[in-house]
Amino acid sequence: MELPSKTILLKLYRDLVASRQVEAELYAKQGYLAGSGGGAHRGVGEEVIPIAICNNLTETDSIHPNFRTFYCLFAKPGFTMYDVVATCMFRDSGKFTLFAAENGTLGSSSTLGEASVRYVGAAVTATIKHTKDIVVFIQGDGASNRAPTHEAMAVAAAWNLPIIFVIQNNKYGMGTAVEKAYNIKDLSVRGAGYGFPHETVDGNDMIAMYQVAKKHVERCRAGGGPSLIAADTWRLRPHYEGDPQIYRPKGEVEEWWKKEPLSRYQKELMDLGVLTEKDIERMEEEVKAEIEEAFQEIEKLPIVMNYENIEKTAVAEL
Amino acid sequence: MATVSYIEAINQALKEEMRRDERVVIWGEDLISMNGVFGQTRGIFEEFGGDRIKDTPICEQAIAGMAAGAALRGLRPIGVFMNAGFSLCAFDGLFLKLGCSGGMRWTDNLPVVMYGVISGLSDDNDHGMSPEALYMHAPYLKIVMPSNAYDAKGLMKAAIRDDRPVIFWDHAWCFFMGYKDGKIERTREAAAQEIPDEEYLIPFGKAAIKREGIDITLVTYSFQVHNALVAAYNLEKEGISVEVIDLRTLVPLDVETIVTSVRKTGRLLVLHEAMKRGGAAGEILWRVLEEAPDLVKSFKSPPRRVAAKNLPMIPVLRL
Repeated sequence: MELPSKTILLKLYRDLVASRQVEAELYAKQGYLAGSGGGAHRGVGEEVIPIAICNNLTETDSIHPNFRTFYCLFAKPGFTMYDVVATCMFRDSGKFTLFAAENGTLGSSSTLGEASVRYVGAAVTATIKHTKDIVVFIQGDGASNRAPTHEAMAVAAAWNLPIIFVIQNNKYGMGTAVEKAYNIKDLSVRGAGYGFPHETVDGNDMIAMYQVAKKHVERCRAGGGPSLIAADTWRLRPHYEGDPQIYRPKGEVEEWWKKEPLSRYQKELMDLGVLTEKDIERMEEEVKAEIEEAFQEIEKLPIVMNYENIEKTAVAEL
Repeated sequence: MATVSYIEAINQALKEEMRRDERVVIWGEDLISMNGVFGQTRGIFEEFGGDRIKDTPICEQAIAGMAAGAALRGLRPIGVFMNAGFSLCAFDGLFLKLGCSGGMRWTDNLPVVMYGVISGLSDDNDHGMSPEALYMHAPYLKIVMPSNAYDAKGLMKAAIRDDRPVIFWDHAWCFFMGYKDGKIERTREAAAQEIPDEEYLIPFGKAAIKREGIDITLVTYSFQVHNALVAAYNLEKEGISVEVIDLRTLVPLDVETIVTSVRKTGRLLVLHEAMKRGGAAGEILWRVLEEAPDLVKSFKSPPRRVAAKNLPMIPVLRL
């Protein structure tokens, strides 16, 4: 497959750097919200999948990012780092990144998989309104076993809808290893049962992930109907911060840190002669400044959670 | 004025709203292939085409969830479960998401109508149960349960124009029978009504006084309105004057009409087909007491409720 242009390769790199930096900042600054034990569900090491996909979408396309990596939405046209920081810090920038319907995000679901049918609703809407918008629904290997996912795929198949399902296979559904939850090695074969084109890709390989995403997005936009991508990655962090991880074999985490995607992509770009030490230094500083500015700016915004607003709209007293 | 059956009234409401607003779409189980089983969706495919009406696979979670997604993307969907009981397959989407406002945020409009039919006591739990009390607990769901053709049309049109999620349960017995001359007649005529030719909407939260009385207030909704009217007719012969109130919508609840009536009669009886424990009657009584605590002293007899026993229906293993 053709290598993406240098501009795209560098944009993907910058987004990857930014995702790592903003995640660390958010984790540090949100600490007080979760209490001393943490509790955050972190997506470190899984960023390639949403970033590669977001860079293939338009402002009005719809995307559900896996809950671990929803902060990567800054990479999707229509959203900025400022919006992401504001959302994650519960500030109202006018664009709540996980719930900005005009830019294609329709919320998520803590009952895993339930959001899939909602995003199928966005795909149906595209066919009814005859827009060129497509939908990408990303969720983990754990969520992909849940019932709504299967209903989502059944309807998407029956109606040939413009939606791409992505299994962000990080090898653990909470504490249960993927081998214990599936009797197949290649999760993408589930697509065959729905008549979907399906393939598995190394979701830690930025260039491969970008190319696969591009291919599926183009096919989907051209009216090709639904498809399924299984993107292999690995969960470098515990299920939640504070999780003692008694289910992990010893040494596993250390092994996977050696394959973590940022340093891997960095090396790849340097080998290709696209990226220099100087570029790296410059980009890291640029991104750092952008994130710092976002954190400063959002301080001026009102807090999102406001029970007066909620009471105005609920029918609690009816 | 034309005499219109309950089913025709629903069908008219759907078609009129679909003509008025091209964002109104409807999908669910067997809407085209079986006209929605009872005929509610007859002729919609022929008039509006396949973009506006769709037969889904038997996927209740998708019927509900897609409606939420499509509403957020600018449509005004009506999702149809064949039976109200089937909606429980989609309880997550209905209660936790639509019912708690789409997942996370409360400022977006969610103009969704979820429709289903309660088959009544002659059927099994899955088809026949009345699940309204389960949905009453959700902060964002409005709940509509009409008893007659006229109300069904006006309430359905209001439901489709509402910017918030509405649960709309019809009762299948209302399709085929109704109160007439002191008894329930199993004829389509008894289930039909005079409906004005001009457009009308019935606002939510406005109960209808179906019969005026001075001795006791009988509050009910859906098909039990017809049973209540039979009881009122029979009791009149014994010299007891019953005021029958049809709530039309459980959320919002027209507490004011009930309180006004009870101030007059001094007695309150709430009747519903759903099981008693945790049923709507308890909520209705408490809302009345909270609204008018002074009534406690003036009741001529303690308020009562009549509801189904807390037992499952006997399954009918018919072919």
